[in-house]
Amino acid sequence: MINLDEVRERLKEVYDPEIGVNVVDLGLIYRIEETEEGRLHIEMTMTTPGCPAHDTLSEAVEWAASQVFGVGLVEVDVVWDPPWTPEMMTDDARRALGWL
Amino acid sequence: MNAHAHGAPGAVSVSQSPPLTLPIRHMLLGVLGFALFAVDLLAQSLSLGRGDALSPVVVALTHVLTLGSLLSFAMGAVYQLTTVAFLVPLASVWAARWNFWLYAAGVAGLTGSMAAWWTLGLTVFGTLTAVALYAYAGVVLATLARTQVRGPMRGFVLSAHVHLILAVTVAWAMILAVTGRGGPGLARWAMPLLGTHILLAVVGFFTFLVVGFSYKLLPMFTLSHGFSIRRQPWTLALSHTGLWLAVVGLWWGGPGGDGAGASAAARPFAWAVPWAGPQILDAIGALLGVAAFVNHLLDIRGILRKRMRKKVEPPIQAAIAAAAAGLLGALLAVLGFVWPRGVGAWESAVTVYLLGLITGTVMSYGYKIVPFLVWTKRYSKQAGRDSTLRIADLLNPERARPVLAGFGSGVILLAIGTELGSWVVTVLGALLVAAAVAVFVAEVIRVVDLRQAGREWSARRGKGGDGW
Repeated sequence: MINLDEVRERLKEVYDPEIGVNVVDLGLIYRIEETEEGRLHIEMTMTTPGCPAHDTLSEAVEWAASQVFGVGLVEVDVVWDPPWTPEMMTDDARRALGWL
Repeated sequence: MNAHAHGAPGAVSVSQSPPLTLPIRHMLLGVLGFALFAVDLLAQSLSLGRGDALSPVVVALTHVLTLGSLLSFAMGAVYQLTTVAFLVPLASVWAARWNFWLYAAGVAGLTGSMAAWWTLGLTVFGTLTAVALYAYAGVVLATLARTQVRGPMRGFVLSAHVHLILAVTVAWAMILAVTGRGGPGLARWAMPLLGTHILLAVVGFFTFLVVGFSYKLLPMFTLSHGFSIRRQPWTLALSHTGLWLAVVGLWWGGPGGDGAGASAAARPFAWAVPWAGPQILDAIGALLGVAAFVNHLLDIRGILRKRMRKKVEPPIQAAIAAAAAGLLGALLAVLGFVWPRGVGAWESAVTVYLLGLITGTVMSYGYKIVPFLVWTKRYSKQAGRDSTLRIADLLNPERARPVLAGFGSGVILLAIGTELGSWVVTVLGALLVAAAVAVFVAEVIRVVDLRQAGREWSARRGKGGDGW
């Protein structure tokens, strides 16, 4: 059984290289689920379609999640539905961007 | 109508970016062009101060800037941004790679031929450059044909590359005209050909490209969402109408451009606008250009109001200032048509437009795009692992502030100096611009780290890759 909270914490170490805020606080991680034992499925998005950091972020998320105990395989899907909006950011992200 | 995501709902996305070596090699050539331009500008500043705008060395200097640096830099950025903005891979990475070498050889020969006014070289290297630019525009247009993204951004970028093809064709005809290889019939149209070439290249290509991609770049770098896009189609329509009215106006005036002594046969568009006098169409065209820039600046204000990054970084501030320079350049053009004041007036308008808008935009976004490409190539594999190195750590955007402020001040001095015919002010402006460009070049080279790039190039060649 994978500890999904631990996965989420681990993903907080993946930063958008341009914005400097981690992908969890940015609201880019839509879903984390263990589809079968040891197999993790992550749905994420980007702040904009065609984001130049697309490969970098999705690969970093895959690698970070794979470091959690019990994870054997990670599948990362980048999706656009629903599209990302600023409302998905946490207060920590807003603070980092200078609004709080 | 608001900005929204273009990705297909529910679809899983994959990256479409070309190998980073493709945009990087163009940008490095562009940086080399910028370095040459800085040195050449210093050397030619005295000629500029004398108002000798059409001397071979000044023509060569202009093309070191436009072809050697701006266009080369723009080609690299377009290869990268087209895939980002239109969500499709390039039609042919292979053709784009090989075309780079053709382009580099063509531009080196062409600018050298211009400086020495070697007419055979102008024809040979002009043809070589033309072929390379046709190939480049062909790759981009074939790529755009595949995208499902529609709207003004695509309209601007697509039109820009159609205009580039036309600008190159007109330039080639102009070379035949000025070298006498096109016969006396073509030779007498050299001035309208020159004006059309400048309009299509500077306005039709560079400006359309800058405005089109700013619809993607500004929201991306300011993290702006939900801004209105209802003005964008009007900006596109005003830009097209203004450009083509100005082009028609150039030809309507006959070979001399002012309509004096031109027969009806020598004024091929006179039938379309029998009510207008010489240069009225050009003035209306420039006025529509002013309206397009006002619209564009209002759009930029709308994007900034919806931004999620509170602090607007200096390179982005400079890109916005560059758009304002475009408005000023268009206003000076209107003034030039309504109140003709000789070559100096046009030099100041072209200075504000070409240096302020186009060069300013390229340098501003260069401060963002080059570090991104270097970061992606060298450090992206460490993301989320043992490194939290940000792109801004490679090149702090704050470093752009004095450079771009100095550049802007230099452009203003150059424009004032040429407008007033002041030798001292013109030379001071040229020195400031040259110094700012030189520092920009040094910053980019520091980020790229040529020694490390050389090692990476050797390593990739050893593995059968194509290096940088």
